[in-house]
Amino acid sequence: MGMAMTAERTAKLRKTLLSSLVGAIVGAGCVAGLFWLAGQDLLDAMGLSRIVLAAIGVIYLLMTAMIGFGLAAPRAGAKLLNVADAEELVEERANLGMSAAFTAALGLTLMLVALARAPGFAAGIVPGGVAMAAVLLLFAAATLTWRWQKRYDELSQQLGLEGA
Amino acid sequence: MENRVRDYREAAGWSQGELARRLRVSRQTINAVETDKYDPSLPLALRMASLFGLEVRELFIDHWMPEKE
Repeated sequence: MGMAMTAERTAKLRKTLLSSLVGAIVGAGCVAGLFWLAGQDLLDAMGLSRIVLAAIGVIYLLMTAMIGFGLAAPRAGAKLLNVADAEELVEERANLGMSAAFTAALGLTLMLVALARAPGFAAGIVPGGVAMAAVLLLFAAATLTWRWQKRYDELSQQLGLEGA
Repeated sequence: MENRVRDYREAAGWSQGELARRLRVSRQTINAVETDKYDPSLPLALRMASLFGLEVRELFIDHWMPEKE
């Protein structure tokens, strides 16, 4: 009993470390790559708050990618994602797919807002109207997804609240 | 919280999926309760106990004792 619990804790710790390491490497790499693509001039014009907003958007998009990876390859995904086992990824495919779609929309919207042209940020590469439309669409989608909560049982709702 | 859900489920001859279906929750919820990673809500605990024909305290074990005044 004791050895089994120790083995389980070790496995859980190993999984947490692996997930953290992969997340840190992929996240840092993607953010650094995007900053390199944006160029120093755009970053200077954006200022710190917009850069942080864009980085958060990238994190949401990476979360989407990780969930997508888990859905495409459940066995490998179960080693990286916070799920009990690969079967969970298969059984919850529909709900996870919808969650991934919303996470992608959220990340994309944050990126659009961060890059939106506005007074004081003429270098913005996204028209202000497009960013505003994306925000409104996101709110509309969030309102509609309120109905989704019936699809999730109490454990999923609790995990969602904790994650939020 | 320590519980005997797995014992009673296996005694009933049900899989985690079957118990989940009867309680209208996901198999992950049953697995999380059985492995003591998640304490169910009071309504779910009541439904579980009712399904097995038990009292909640027979299914979920709490060692807390009130302090003597």
